[in-house]
Amino acid sequence: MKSASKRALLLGAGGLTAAVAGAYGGHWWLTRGTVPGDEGKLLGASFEGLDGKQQPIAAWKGKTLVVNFWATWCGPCREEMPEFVKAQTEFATKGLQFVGIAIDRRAPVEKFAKELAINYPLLLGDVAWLDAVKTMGNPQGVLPFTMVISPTSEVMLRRVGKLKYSEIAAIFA
Amino acid sequence: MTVSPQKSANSGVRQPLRAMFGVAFLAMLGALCGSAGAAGAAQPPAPLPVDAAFASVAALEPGKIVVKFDVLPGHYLYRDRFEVQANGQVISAITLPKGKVKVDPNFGRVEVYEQPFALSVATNLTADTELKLVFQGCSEVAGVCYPPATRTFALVAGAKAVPAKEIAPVSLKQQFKPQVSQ
Repeated sequence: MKSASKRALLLGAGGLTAAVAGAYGGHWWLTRGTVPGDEGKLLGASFEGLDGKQQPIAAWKGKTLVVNFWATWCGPCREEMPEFVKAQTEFATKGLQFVGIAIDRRAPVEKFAKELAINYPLLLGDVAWLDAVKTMGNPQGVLPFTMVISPTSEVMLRRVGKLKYSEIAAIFA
Repeated sequence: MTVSPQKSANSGVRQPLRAMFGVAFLAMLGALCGSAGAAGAAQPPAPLPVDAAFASVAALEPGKIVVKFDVLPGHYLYRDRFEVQANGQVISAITLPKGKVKVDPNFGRVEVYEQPFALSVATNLTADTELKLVFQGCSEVAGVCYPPATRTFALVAGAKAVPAKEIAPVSLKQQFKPQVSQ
């Protein structure tokens, strides 16, 4: 091989390595504040459903689980939920399962669920969960907060703030 | 074409430089792609701690308790979501300034505070007082809402304003009044 070609090959390999390192570095830089770890507590928990029965989160193991913490008193939470309804309809056959955990009282949750024709389970969570989520990537314990968990219980995405339909669709693309 | 020795020497220096710039450019490109990938489509800023977004101080003055809020730009507090207790007694005589009318797609016309403001609570207390205050607001810039926050103030008669202290959240049954969810 000619030395010029060798050099080009080496430079190309170096550039590729640098690009990969840069991409990794950029990803690390943007996700450096995330604290993983406590989602095991969530995956092992049970919540009261609107039917009054306790519902274990583990019941959906094996699905691509989207756990959305929300409340009726939270405007941005209400705004993103129609997109969740659409995504649940669209990707249910691909294994998507939304679960909404409302940090709220039963009556307004029932009313809102009916108004919006929510097509996925809504559970009731105690306010203590707003403290628990602080170690799951939501350090201020604000709403909405959503985690996408893979069928093998890996956290694929954490979102403080609104999650868009297009971002959910991208998971199944 | 004849290449002079001078030119040849220069190109020998330039080539590694060019290569270094190339590698640096690719690294930057990679970093940008990585950033874009991690951020998705331009994510809003991370929310601030509630006490940074809505810093508050309170003072016991003759005939009233005054609480001053400093609302950071891009944040707001709901006017109808304040609750006050002084020495364990619920106080309904809260004087709140007029807020800005916000037409919320979810809650209709609501009054909010987007600027620093003060509320006052009429009281005949003159001795040291523990004030408990519940408030709730959101961050427009981060696209999130803070849960109702409870703060206490250890007020000393005649002393200057004191900052809020955080206390553990109470259960929803106690903290969320019906109007919060309407």
